Amino acid sequence: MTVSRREFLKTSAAATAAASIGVNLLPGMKNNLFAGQVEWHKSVCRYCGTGCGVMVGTKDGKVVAVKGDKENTINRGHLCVKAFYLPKAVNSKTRLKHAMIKKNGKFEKVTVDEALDFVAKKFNEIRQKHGANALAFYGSGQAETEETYMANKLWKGCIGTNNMEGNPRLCMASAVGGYLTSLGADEPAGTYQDIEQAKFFMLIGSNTAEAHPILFERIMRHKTKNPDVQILIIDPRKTPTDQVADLHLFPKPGYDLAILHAMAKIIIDEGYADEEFIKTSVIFKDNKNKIDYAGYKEFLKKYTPEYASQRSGVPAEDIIKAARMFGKAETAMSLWTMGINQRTRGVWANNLITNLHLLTGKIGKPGCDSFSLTGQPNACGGVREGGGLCHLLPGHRLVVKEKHRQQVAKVWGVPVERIQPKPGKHTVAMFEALNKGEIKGIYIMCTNPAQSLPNASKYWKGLEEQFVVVAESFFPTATTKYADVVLPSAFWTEKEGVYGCTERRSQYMPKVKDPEGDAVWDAFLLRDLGKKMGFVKEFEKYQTAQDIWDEYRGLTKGQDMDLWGATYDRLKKVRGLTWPVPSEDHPGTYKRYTDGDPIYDALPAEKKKGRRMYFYGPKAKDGYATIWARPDKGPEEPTDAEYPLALSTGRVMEHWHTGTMTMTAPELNRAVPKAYVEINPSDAKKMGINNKDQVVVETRRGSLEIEARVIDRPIPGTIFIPWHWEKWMANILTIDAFDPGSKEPEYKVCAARIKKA
Amino acid sequence: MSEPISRKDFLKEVFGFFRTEVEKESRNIGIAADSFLLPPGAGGQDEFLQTCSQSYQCVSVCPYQAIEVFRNDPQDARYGYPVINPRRQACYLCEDFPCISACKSGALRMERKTIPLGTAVVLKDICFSYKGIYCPSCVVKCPLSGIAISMVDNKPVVQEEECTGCGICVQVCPTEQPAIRIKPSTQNRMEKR
Repeated sequence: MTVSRREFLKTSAAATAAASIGVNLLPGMKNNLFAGQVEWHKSVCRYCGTGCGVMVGTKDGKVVAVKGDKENTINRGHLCVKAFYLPKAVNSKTRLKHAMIKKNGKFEKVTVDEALDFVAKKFNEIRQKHGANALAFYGSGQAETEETYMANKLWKGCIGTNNMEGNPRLCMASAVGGYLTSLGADEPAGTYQDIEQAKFFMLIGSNTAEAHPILFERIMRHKTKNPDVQILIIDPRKTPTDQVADLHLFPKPGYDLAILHAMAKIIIDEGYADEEFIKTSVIFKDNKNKIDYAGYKEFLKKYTPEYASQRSGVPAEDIIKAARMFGKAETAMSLWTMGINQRTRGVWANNLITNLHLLTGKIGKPGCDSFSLTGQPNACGGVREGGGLCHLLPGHRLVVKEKHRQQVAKVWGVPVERIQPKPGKHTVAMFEALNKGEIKGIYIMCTNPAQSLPNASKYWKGLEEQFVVVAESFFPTATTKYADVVLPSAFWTEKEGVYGCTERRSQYMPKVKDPEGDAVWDAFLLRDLGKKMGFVKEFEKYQTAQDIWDEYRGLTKGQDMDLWGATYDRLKKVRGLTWPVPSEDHPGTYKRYTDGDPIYDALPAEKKKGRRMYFYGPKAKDGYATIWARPDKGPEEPTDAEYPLALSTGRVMEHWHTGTMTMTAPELNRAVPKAYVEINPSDAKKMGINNKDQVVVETRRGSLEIEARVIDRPIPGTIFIPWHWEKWMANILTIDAFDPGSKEPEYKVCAARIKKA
Repeated sequence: MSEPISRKDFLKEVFGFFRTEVEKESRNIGIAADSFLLPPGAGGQDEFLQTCSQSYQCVSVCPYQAIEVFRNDPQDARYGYPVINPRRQACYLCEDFPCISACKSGALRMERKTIPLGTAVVLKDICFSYKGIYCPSCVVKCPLSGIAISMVDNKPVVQEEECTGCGICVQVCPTEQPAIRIKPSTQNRMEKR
């Protein structure tokens, strides 16, 4: 068949045009136009923790389009606008294509090999002179499980330090703490399937519409079809999520614990508690000791709706209404994110949400769950399950447990003494140690701490002074500024690997194109660094991604997050598997701790007798979940006469994290070109601030000149800044106080003031 | 196919195709991708063109530089007159309307300040939300979000009687060509709101 030049031009031009805005988007287009031209590959979205399935379209070795994967159960072909513009990030001019070493303050191009030689030499010098604890690793909930696994082995198993952290410390650590203390094991009991079966949603500390658009879309569609579905929102700010709200409580930032206690009190007082479930499945604890149900009721006496109202500023009748909504609903699902986690009492806040589900027995049943949403695509998979934090080892293991260290050391092929029994430095402590010079060398992978740390400018000193290696796909970022060596990392679509999303689902991503320039897969950068540091035997065996996955999979065998049955072969075919997946013929688990969960099913009958749920996790005793009588506590830095406004930070729908990816799409920059501070009109009037005025926002830590947006979204006395821009860095203002349990910083509340610029 | 295709040719075809498809759609609803609006307080276009003295006072006082001088097409009657291109910079409908205050000719009048600049129209064939991509950008950024425009069944729907035609939705729309346009109120500017 011959094709004239004109015809070819016409069809391929049409195809490219259509591909550039997504297939089927243009009127009158036919799919077969793409036959033999654009090749589609099943993958997972690079952005948030929802885990949407995408189809990546490639043509002539380039990523040309991304569309929703219709067969994926999470998003059923739907995507948000960020994902749609992913090809622009892959093909961006800001991609880092070669390694560089800083000499006399200027970056000089070198080969990756030379750069790794240099890093290995430096790291070995530091290790010999100052000990292993002078080295650190800071990873990411965006790295693949395989990548985090390699870093874990190199640092904890070979170099011999537990100073190995990741940015999920800044976003998910409180949820981990919450699940462990309430249910005995990390990660939710249910999955997204519960959304379509829930009659009631409590969205607390979550702007779902902008931070998890596709889940919000599912909730919205569910409510449209079933108008009797009720939605309660608890958030100090009116957000686009409000369009589905039946009731919205606006607590003062940081004062919502009392509301949750008051709701529990009303639920018990008005007879909405599931007494049978409480008897069979729940124990009670105050902050330290076991108490009984009566003791818990005694504790709650103080938390009348009036008391909670006085603490939080929410009308008492609204709190009563909210509690009744929760109590009366046939099924209930709670969803939360950073508004709960990023708090100095984030773990407690997590506990108090799960309390409501345990009290009413609205857990372990279809449409019922206490469900924490993740912000990053692999925070659950790589870091929580993979053990990428300073106190963890792969497969929900802990460094403090000798048995766990032995199991891991055996698989890693390292002497067990090499793994320290003491947790290393958590994120804030790690960067503090960098400032003090206790840590002399750090390897930062796939994240941008110079912008994303709370009270960021405080930690630039350490980054400036110590030996910093940054492995990144984009250049420049706020962090590469401080790097001594930058290593070019292969980006999404240029490497294969596994992402594990919020609902315990592990999904496979293929490599569909070659890395740009000299870029190398992060796991191989770490492998080669390990070899160059002298750990040849430990690292030479990893030739493919599958080698790493299979080893990790083996470590999960028999654990609560069993992924033994999730082989690459299987994952390549299916749209992910929700663990536990103990064998290759197991379909994955919808609900944990109850019928259908293979671990529950395998329990001896006498244990399960008379019990709908058995909480078998490592922190639970005798199968009981825990209802916590946690004290009430406000934010670390309450507002005062000097700093009268409560500042909160967060996301907008069009951008993601520090913008290294989303800001490569001009269309997304058009939608939200710059940062702004949202001020309530009543506050603005008092201060004489008009919409679009330049203002200065000050906290005890820094000040930021920024545009004012006078809008009735934040409640009076509060302000809000989206944090994505380096130029208007909200984290100069935020506080680095952290939860004593989870060590997660309180990004969401600090005291601020505003004046006109 | 032995004939090599230059990059320029290829791109020309691609964009040409794009333009025709989008223009076809635009013609259907009668709004061009770069539709221009008259400044606040204007009457119909004919009256505006006859009264405006082209002193450009409104252009110079606009705090957002939203009002510009129309120079796109010398054949167009509006050539040289002040207009708003919402895709470049939408109108924020200031509380005190400095543009109207600055107008000495009577082309812009305070008593007409409440007349909408136009009405937003969603181009369903190129709007992300109608194609399975969740994108509430226009709804979230609308100053009358939930009133003038809201997400219905995960798609933006305009309430014509509430829309002021300020064009912020057009400015922020993250499709390459705006999938939401303002249909200018020219002839029958009725008193609304």
